Amino acid sequence: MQNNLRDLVLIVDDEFLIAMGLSMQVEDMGREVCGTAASAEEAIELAQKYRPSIVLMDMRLQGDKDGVDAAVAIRATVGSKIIFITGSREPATLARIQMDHPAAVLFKPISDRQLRLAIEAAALG
Amino acid sequence: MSIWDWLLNPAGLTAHGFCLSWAPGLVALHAISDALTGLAYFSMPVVLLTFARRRPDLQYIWVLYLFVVFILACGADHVMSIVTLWLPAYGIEGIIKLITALLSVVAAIALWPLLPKLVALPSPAMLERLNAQLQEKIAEQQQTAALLRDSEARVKVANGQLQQRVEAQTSELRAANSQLTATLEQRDILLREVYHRVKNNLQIVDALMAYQSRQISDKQALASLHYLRQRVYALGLVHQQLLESQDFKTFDIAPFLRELTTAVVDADHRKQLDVEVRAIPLVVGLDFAIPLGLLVTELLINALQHEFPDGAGRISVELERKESGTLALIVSDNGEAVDDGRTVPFATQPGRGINIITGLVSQLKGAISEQSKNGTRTEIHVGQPTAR
Repeated sequence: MQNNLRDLVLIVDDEFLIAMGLSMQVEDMGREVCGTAASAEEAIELAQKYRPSIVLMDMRLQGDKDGVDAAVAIRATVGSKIIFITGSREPATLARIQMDHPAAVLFKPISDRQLRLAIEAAALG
Repeated sequence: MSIWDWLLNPAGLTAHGFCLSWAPGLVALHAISDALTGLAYFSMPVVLLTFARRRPDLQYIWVLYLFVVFILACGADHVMSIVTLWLPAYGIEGIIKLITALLSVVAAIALWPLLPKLVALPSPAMLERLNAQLQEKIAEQQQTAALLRDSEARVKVANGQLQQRVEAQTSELRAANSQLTATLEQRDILLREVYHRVKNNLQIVDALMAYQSRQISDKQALASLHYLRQRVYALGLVHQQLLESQDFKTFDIAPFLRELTTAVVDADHRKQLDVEVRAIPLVVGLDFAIPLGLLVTELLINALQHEFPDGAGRISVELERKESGTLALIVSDNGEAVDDGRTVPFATQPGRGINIITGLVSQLKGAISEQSKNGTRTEIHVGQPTAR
């Protein structure tokens, strides 16, 4: 891992309650959540502020930019591992995600087990 | 007597003029008549020969030559008549008469069989009539040809019109088709949106329940909420599978069962259990998947209530097809039913979890049976679902 990232998880989702649910899941795993963001701009801002090692990134965000846009910016400026969360398996969406070489891609609904495995894998790698 | 004598003056005979008493008028009459006739007889063959030369194509042209010779002979005959008036060349005259006679006979004989053939030769009138008929026929044919061409032209026009109409219809059909395709695409987009929102809403419900759980301390209430979340997760999973399907209507239930079972068992943090899922591939629709998914969730929740000896806990879910064609869903575990009044065999008991299970089984028009020796084994039989 590089650039003195902290052992924090940033959660990005345009739906507050889902972001809240993910936060609870992460905290139940024993990890700390640094914040939640609903738009790409907010996500980049929080990432630069808190420098989390892991970001849970929803594809659909408020505003024009989507999850990939935010992820590209965050990886460039902060270097966090990005775990994408998406509700759709549309080929267009998947192709776009893969362009960014994500640490993992999870499909909603996400079970505790799936989330745990993904985060642990990202934390190790 | 010498031959010359015989020819010119046989036996010293007298010339014919003597028979006429040398009357000058009479002699002149005979001589002039014979001369004129002879001239005529010499003129006619010329005409005939000229004619023959001009029309070499004529049939029976040998008749002409025959007559030429015959007429010449007759002419010679008359010449001899004049000669014998003054010269008794009866020998020559006789020979010429003989020649003439032979020719006459030949001509006469030759003429008879020729008669019908000559009669059959078409007359100019007949030829004219035939020609007229021919002209008529030609005119008729030309008319017919003209009509045909006219007809052809009309067919071409009609054909062109037909082609135009076909093209118009084809482009209409193409337009309708692309509209249909667009409508279908819209429908697909809509369905995708709907399923996505359903999934999202279920996720929100789940988050709300998780949130609520944090404010509850009562263990039983927490367990209730936890199991509620499992059921909601099952619903969300059905919609996720639908979203991933090709037609947005049906999907293979085997991977769904696997994921559901793994998630439900794993969510129960109290136990470390082996999970085994064996399911035949089966394409199902929403109407079958939801009750079946909820059924499996219920039975798994029940199984998780059992007590397992450490390290040897096993839960298995099977979906198989019997010979009769019915499907069998089997959920079994090797735990012991805890006799704390909470879980009790089906047949005898109303209570939490049981009504849902029997209700769902009857919704699927199936039959359920349970056995609890060396663990619990619940078997549900349902008919082959029609994927709609």
